[in-house]
Amino acid sequence: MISKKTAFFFLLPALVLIFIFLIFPAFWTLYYSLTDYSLLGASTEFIGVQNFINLFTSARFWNATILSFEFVFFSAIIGQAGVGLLLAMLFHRKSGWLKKLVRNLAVASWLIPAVVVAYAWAAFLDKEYGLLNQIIGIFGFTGIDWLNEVPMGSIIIFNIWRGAAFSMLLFTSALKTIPPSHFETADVVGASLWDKIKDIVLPQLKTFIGSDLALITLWTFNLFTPFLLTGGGPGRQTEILPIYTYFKAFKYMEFGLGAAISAVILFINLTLALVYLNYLKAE
Amino acid sequence: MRLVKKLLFRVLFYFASVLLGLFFVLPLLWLFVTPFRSDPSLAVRLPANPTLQNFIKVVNNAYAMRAFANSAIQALGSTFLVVMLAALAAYALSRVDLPGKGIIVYILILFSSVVTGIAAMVPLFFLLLQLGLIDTHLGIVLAFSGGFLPTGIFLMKDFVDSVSLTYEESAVVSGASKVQIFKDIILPLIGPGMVVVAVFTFAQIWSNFLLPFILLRSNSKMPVSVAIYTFTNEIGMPKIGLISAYSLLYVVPIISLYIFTNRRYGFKFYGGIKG
Amino acid sequence: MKKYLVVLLSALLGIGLMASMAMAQDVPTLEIIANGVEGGKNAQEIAYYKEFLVPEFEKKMAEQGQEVNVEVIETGVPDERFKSRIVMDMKAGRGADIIGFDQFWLSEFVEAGLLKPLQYFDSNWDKWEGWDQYYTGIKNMMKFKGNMYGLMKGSDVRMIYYNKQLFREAGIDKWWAWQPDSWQELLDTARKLKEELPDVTPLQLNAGSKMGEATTMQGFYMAHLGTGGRIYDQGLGKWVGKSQDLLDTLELYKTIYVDENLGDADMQVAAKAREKTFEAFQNEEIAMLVEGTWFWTDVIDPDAAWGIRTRDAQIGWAAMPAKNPGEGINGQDFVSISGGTGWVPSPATDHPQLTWELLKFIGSYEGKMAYMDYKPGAVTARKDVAQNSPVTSENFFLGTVGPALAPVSTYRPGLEEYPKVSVEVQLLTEEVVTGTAPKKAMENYSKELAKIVGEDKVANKPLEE
Repeated sequence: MISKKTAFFFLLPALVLIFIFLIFPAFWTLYYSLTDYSLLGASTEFIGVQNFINLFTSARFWNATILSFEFVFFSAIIGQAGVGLLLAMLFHRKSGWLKKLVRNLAVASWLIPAVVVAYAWAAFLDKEYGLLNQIIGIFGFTGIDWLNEVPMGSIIIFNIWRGAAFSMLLFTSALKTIPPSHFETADVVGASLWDKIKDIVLPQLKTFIGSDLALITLWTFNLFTPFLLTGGGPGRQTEILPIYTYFKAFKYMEFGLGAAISAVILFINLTLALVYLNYLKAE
Repeated sequence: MRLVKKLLFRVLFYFASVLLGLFFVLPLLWLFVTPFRSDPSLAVRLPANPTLQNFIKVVNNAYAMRAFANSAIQALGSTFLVVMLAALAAYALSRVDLPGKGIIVYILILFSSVVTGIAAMVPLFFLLLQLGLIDTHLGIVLAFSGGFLPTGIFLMKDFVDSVSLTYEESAVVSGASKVQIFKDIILPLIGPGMVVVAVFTFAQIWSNFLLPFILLRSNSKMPVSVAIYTFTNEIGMPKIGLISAYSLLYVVPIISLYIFTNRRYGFKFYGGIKG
Repeated sequence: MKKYLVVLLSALLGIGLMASMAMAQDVPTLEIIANGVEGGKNAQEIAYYKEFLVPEFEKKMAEQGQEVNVEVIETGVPDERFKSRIVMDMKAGRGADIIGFDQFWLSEFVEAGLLKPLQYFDSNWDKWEGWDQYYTGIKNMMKFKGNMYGLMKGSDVRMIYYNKQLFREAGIDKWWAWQPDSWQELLDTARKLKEELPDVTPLQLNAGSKMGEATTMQGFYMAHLGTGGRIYDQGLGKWVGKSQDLLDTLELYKTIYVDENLGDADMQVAAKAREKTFEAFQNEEIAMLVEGTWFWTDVIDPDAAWGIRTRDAQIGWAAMPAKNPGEGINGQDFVSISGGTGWVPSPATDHPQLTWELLKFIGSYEGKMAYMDYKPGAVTARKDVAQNSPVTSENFFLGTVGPALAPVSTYRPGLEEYPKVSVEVQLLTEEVVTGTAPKKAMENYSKELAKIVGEDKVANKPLEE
């Protein structure tokens, strides 16, 4: 154990940086959400919750919010966590080149810079030349214009691909905390894979799942990368909250409103995190 | 019966692994073949006449090449700060009893999502302006560090938690100082954690566009994420051959970093992350 | 431990201080920023700065005994990002001395207090002999509330481009010099094309937010002006919410995209809509496209991104007709709208006088002649350049289009709300081409408009029964 004083000095440099470059601008942003601040406004006034009223009465905002929930639910909570868990389970207590290869590919997809990934996916999904449609063609189907005909589906699959590695890494190490004897016992009694998941993995991994979901929900809610693929379109079909913020902040230069959307995203995430963590701890 | 079941599982295992492997690799194939084609397109084709022309053009662009040095300065600088300070902070948090520390760290992560987003761009700009840090590498490094420290601490704390206290206690008994304990006992044990945090932080900063674009002014300081716009045509649409070549070069450092650290330390979380 | 921290913190502080120290320089430096980058976006413009402007201006000033450095700040990013960056710089009272500037931002920037009139830079600004050579209409695009804020590079006009080869195959009369006189004729031509060439999209009139300002300018305005309508009624001093003219405009969109599928609505609202449209036009999959002169000089130029090798022979142009002859704006038979970009001096400059010198040099005869070489445009700002530039005399298209359409062309309202209204217009057309009834879409537009400009600044005109 170290003394409180030593701990404080260990914490100090991080706290200083966090305070100046994180807390301060974050609160500044939250303050903007209560003003009509615009880069192209002559003056800035405190307008209370007017930005929020404007948002909540705007169909475009609700469209973005609903899309964001869909995006987070299917791509992060179901997709990334699901594929991550699947990968972790699949390779649990296994070794060999196949495991290494698949895991490394997943991690690569996660680490490659967003703009590069966007170019690669735009090519992959291209209607005429894209690899996906060529593969589909081999099986005798006609390809479609993915980003325009199933835009939400496309960015959801994209984000599963992009982020599954984090959940995989997290669950891989989490699985190691389960004593191997549990699985061996299950094997002896001839439990099915699903039984193993249901009776051993999920209960033991509850807290891990909670922190995984809290993090990937937060990251996905704030993810701007789909913009590089669809630009929020066609129409507004993929205009999730960060893209909506981008339009408000850059096209209208309404940073007050943009800040209000950030505050909404923050609030949603805080609520969800409390739900995950409480629910998982309570049981 | 048992054997059949085992065999079936084996087949299923390979089938699932191959399918998942394809899922991850297919979207990336384009990136690895296109730069070498003399007739680059959106299709995935093996180059009929492999060429290095695209790379030669890219390498000859002084601005685009200098951007790699800038990216390295900014990403390495921030990563170094984040890893060091997060290790210290995580150690302190792990070793003292502080009520609600888990929630505090999570709330900091929440705030970090605001700051790395679009809406905080204006406050960050004016903050750095007041500090005289606009158009400096240091400004970028500090802004990124502030933004990524909470996640770094969060990931790191878990590693520190796993280090048994008995090591430290016996070191104290042998008369080691606190700094010595941290340096000689803790650091080596949480090394893998630092590696994870380092790779994660580096990857995020390596790919970030908005922050450097807003906070830097001189082309001589711009990172790769900004310089990549050089490889568009007169009206701003990407030139496929050049952009794929530059993209491939852009990917190499981060993938090398991962491969290196994975070989050396193993890229994994310690015992998962608990809420 | 404490020592270590003190060292760390003071190191951080020290580096910060060093970085913040201004570098002392004897020779004044002028910076010019543009949304372009060598070898990339707007490379021709950057080449003009680097190869002509910087050395020539430095030389000229040196001859007058004034040492000066000129530096070009390159960007080459999406326009909205460029805009936010220069705004932040200007808000902070810093940044480049001369800014490459889209004319339709002017009113916003002035109202926000970010620009200062030319007299701020030189009290004798209006004595400059160059003004006499500027076309009044183009010159005044940089004028707002009686003050002049900068210089235009030039301007442009908009028209219908058509593929003569496809017209000939479809058996269109006078395919070599086609010119419709009304919307009816335009639509009939489109119908005939659809019947004869089912694989070809007959007509694309820009719609939707993905096309950005290109929707407002070469889509909506080109139709709307043909009804005699405007989005801002100068006489009333109000923005027009609902009107019969607006409804007629939307009905045209509906006819083209929804009722008869003469245009491809999916292409309009798709990601990378503009890129796709250019590619389709290049591949002869679009017969008629309403676009600006920039399309000719920068998109389908044989050497450009979507170059058409036989452009000069194969691609024709026609003026956009009014709904019916004489029903266009100002009672015109044909309509066009112009925009353009220019240069504004930044009030943040440390050298107002030198900045004005540089601006004058850019706008001088030799400056503009050189600019025309690097970046040929249809409508140049100076009369003497229009007369003498080899570009206009050698280039049949640029030589004919400007004189033919400039007289019938008009401008966007120079009001600070315009950019926001323009975005709503884009969304309005998007709703119609994706199936919303024109009346309903107009209703929505009128409401959104009121949110932007205020209820009292919206005029809703009676509709015909």
